Amino acid sequence: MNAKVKASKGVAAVLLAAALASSAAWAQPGGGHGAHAASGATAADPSPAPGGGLLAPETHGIDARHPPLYFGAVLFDQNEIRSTGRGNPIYAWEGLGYYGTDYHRVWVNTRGETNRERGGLERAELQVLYSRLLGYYWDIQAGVRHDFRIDPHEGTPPRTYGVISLQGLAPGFFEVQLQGFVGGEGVFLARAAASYDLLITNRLVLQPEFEMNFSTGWDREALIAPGLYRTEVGIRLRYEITREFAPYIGYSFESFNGGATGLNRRLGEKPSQSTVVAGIRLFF
Amino acid sequence: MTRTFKIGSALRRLSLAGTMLAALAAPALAQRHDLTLEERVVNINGTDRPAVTVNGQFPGPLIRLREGEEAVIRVTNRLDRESSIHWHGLILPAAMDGAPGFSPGFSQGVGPGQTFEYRFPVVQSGTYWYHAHNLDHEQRGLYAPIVIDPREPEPFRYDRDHVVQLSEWTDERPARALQNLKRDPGYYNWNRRTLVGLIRDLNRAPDADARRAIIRDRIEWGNMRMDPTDIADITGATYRYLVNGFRPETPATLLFRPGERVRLRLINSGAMTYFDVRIPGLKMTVVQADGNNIRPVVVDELRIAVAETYDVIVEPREDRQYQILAETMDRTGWARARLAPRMDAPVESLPPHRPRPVLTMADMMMNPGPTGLDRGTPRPEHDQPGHVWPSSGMDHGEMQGQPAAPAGGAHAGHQMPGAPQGQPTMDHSAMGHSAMDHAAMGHGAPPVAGAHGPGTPATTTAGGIQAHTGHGGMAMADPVVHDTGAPPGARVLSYRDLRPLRPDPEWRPYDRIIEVRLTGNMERYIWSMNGNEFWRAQPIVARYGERLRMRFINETMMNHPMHLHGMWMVPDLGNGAFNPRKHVVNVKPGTSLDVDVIVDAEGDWAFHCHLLYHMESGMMRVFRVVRDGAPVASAPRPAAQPVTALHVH
Repeated sequence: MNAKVKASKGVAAVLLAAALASSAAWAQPGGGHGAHAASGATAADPSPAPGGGLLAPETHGIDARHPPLYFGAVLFDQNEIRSTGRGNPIYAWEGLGYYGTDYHRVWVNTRGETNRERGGLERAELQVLYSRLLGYYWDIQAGVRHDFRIDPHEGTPPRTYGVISLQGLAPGFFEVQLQGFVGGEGVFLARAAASYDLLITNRLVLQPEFEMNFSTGWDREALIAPGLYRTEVGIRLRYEITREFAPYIGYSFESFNGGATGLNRRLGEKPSQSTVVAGIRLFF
Repeated sequence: MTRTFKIGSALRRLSLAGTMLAALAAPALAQRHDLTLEERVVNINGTDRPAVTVNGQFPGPLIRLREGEEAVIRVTNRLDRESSIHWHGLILPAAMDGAPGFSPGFSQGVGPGQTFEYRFPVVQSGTYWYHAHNLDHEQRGLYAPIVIDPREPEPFRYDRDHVVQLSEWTDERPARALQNLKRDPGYYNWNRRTLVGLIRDLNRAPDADARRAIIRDRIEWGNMRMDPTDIADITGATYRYLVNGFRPETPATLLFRPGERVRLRLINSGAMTYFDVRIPGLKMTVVQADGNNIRPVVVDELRIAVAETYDVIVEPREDRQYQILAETMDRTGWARARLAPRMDAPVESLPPHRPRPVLTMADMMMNPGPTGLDRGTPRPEHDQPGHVWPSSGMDHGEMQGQPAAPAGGAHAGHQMPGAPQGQPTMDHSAMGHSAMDHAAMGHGAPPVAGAHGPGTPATTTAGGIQAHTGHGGMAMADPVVHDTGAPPGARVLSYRDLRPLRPDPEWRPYDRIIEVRLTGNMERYIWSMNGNEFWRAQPIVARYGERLRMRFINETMMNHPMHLHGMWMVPDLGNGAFNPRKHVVNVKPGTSLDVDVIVDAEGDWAFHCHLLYHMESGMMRVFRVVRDGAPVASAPRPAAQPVTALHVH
C-alpha cells in the first residue's frame, strides 16, 4: 500500500512537472510547416524524385508531415486567502493543468488548503488523469487521486483512489465535472461540481460554483459518511486584467452534511463555515 | 545596310531559338528575381519584434512578371529554420508550387542557408501574391504582391496602378497565439455578450415581445454552447492592421492626380482577418477578381476574404485626399491607406466603427448531408470525436445532455423545416468511394443550383435585434451575400457579380461531386474537413481531366476561405460558363456552396482553409491528382526542374 502510494506520488510529480513545462516546450519558435517538415524528415522523404509525390506511401494514421500539435495549460481557478473573520486566514487553491493533443492529454487536478492554527498544509489532493476527448464538449478521464496526510498526527489520513471522471461544458455554458472514486476502504465516492461564468462586462466576471460530495459508506477517519457528506458553494467576482491574471473577491460556504457533521463535531470542529475570499486567478 | 541585315539575322536566329524553346514548352524570356529571406527587427507597436523580411523589406518586395515568359526566382533562406515561398494563385508545376510536404522535391522547403531556384512559365496575368507556406513566417511578414502584366492589352483603361496589400501584425509569436486559441478559443474576443449588454438591449427593446425574444435568444445560444460574437478568432486585441506594412495611424499614401483613373490592386494577405473595404466619396469599379478579368461592376463596398485579390478602378476627381478604409469584419480595427494628391497631406481621423456583427440563428442552420464520408478518398473516413456538433442546429430547443454523437450518425435525426432530408441513412462502410456519385443519389436537400438559400444576409448588425429572427420562419443565409453594415442603397460586391468577360472555354457539367464538410470544434479550436484533421486524413484523390465538384458544407460558425493550389476553383453561382475562376472561395457559416475544380494539374497539391490558424490546426488536405488507369509513376516531369539545394558559400 505504502509503496503504491509512493509510486503514484512519483508518477504524479513527473507528470505535473511535464504539465508545468508544457508552456516552455510549446513556445519554440516556428511551429509552422517548416517544423512539421523537419520532424517528417527523419522518415523517408516522401518525394525523392520529381513527380515522386505521387509515389508517396499511403498514409495510415498520423501523417508525419504534419503531426498533431502538443500544447498545455495551467489554470488556478482558486488561488486565494480565506478568512472567517476570526483567527488566521488560510490559503487555499484549486487548479488544473494539462498537456497533450486535442484528443489525449495528461491531466492534473489539485486542491488544498493550509491549516488555520499552524500555518502548514492542512489538506492536499492531487489527481493525475489520462484525459480523452469524448465528444464536442466532453472529456472522459481516468487515473489516480491521492489525498496527502500532511501531519502524521493530525488531520485526515492518506487515501488513494482510482478516478473516473467526466468533464466538459453542459448546455447553458455550465462547466461541469462529475467524478467517481473507488478507494481501498471499500467505499465509493462521487463528486459533482459545476460553475458558470456570468459576464457582467467582458472583464468583470461573476462566477458562482458549487460542489457536492457523496459516499456509499463510512470512512470515519477521512470524515466521510454515507450519502451527501460535504458541500461547497462559492461565488467569486473577478476582473480579467488579462486572460492570465485576474484578481477576485468572493464568498465561500463549506459544510459537512449528514453523518459527517457528527464526525466533525467529535474532532471539535465546526461542521460548516463561511469565509470571505480574495485571490488571483491564474491561467498560463 | 549591313547592320540592318545583321540585326535581321540575329532576330531570325532569336525567333528560331524562340520557336525551339516554345517547342520545348518553355517561354522565350526568363525573368530573374533573387529573394533573400532574413529575420530583421521591426517596430510596429513600440517594441522591437523579429519579422521575416524578403530582401530586407517588410512586407516583401513586389514581383512583377510578364505573361508568357518564364519566371526564374532564386530564394535564399538566411533564417534559422526551413522556410518556403508559395506563389499564391499561380498555375504552375507542382514542384514549383512551394508548399513544403506537398510539392515534389520540396518536402522540407528551403533549408537554412540554402537557395532554391523556382522556375516556371507564367501562364496568366493579374494580381496575385506570394507568401511563406507556414504560419510562423507568413504571420511575421513573409508576404508580398505579384503583379503579372498580360500579354494582350488590358480590357480596361487606367492611368495609375497601386497595390493595396492588407495584412496584420502581432507582437506575439504566432505559435503562442495559436496556443492561446487552443487553451481558450475566446482568448482574443473581448466583445462577448454581457449582462450589461443584455440590460441595454432590454431597455432598448420596444415591447415585451421583443424583450422575450432577446431573452430567448440568449438562452438558445447558451443552450447551444456557442458564442454569437465569435466573428474573428484573433482580433484587434493583439492585431494591428496594416496596408503595405503601414499602421492606420501613419497610413501609406498612394498618389494620384485629380481626374486620373487609378487601379487599386487589393490583396488580403492577412492571416486571419476579413476586411470590409470602402473609399468614402468614390465608387469602385471591380475589374478583376483573383487575377481574372470580370465584367466591370461598380460597387460601394466589398468584403475581401483572406487571401483573395480584387482589382478595382477608382476615379478621384477632387483635389483632396480619399481614405481607403478597410474595417475588419469583427470591427475591432482598421487598416487604411489614403489616396492623396500630395505626400504631405495631413492624416485624417478614422470614422467610428460600424456596429459589430452578431451571428444569428440562421448562421447556425446546418446543412443537410450525411456525415462520416469523405468521397474521393481511398477509404471512407469516420468523423473523429469532437468534430461534429452534437445537435444539428435546428433542434437546439431540445438540447440533450448526451455528450457524443456516434460517429457517422450525427445528422441522422436532424430536422430542418422546409428542407426535407432527401438523404437516407447510409451505410458508409458498405459503399465504395468510386461508386459514389452524389448527383445520382437523389440528394434532395441542397438543390444543384450551387449556392443555396434565398437572399438574406447572414449576419445582422446591432446587438439584440437579431433575436427577432427566432426560428420557424427563418431563412437560410445566402452563401455569397455579405452584410458589411453598409448604409441602405449602397452596393456591396457579391460573388454573383463576378462574371468573366468571356465565357469560360472549359466550362462543362461536372463529372462527380465530393462532399467537403467544413468541420471543427470551436470549444477546442480544432479545425478539420469531414471530421478529420490533416494529420490523420486521407488525401482527396481527383482524376486528371475530370471536372470535380466540391460541395462545401460549412458546419461551423466561421467563414472559411478555401484555397486550392495549382488549379482553378469555379464557384457555381448559377451563371454557367460565366461563373468566375477563383483561387480562394469563401464559404460562409452555415451555408453550402458548390465549387467546381478544373482538374488539370497532376501531383500533390495543398488544399486548405487560408485562415492560417485553422490550417495549422488541421483544416488542410492533400489534393492528389492522378491519371485514370495510368500508373502514377508516369506523371510527366515538371517542365522545369529545380536546382535543389544550392549551397550559398
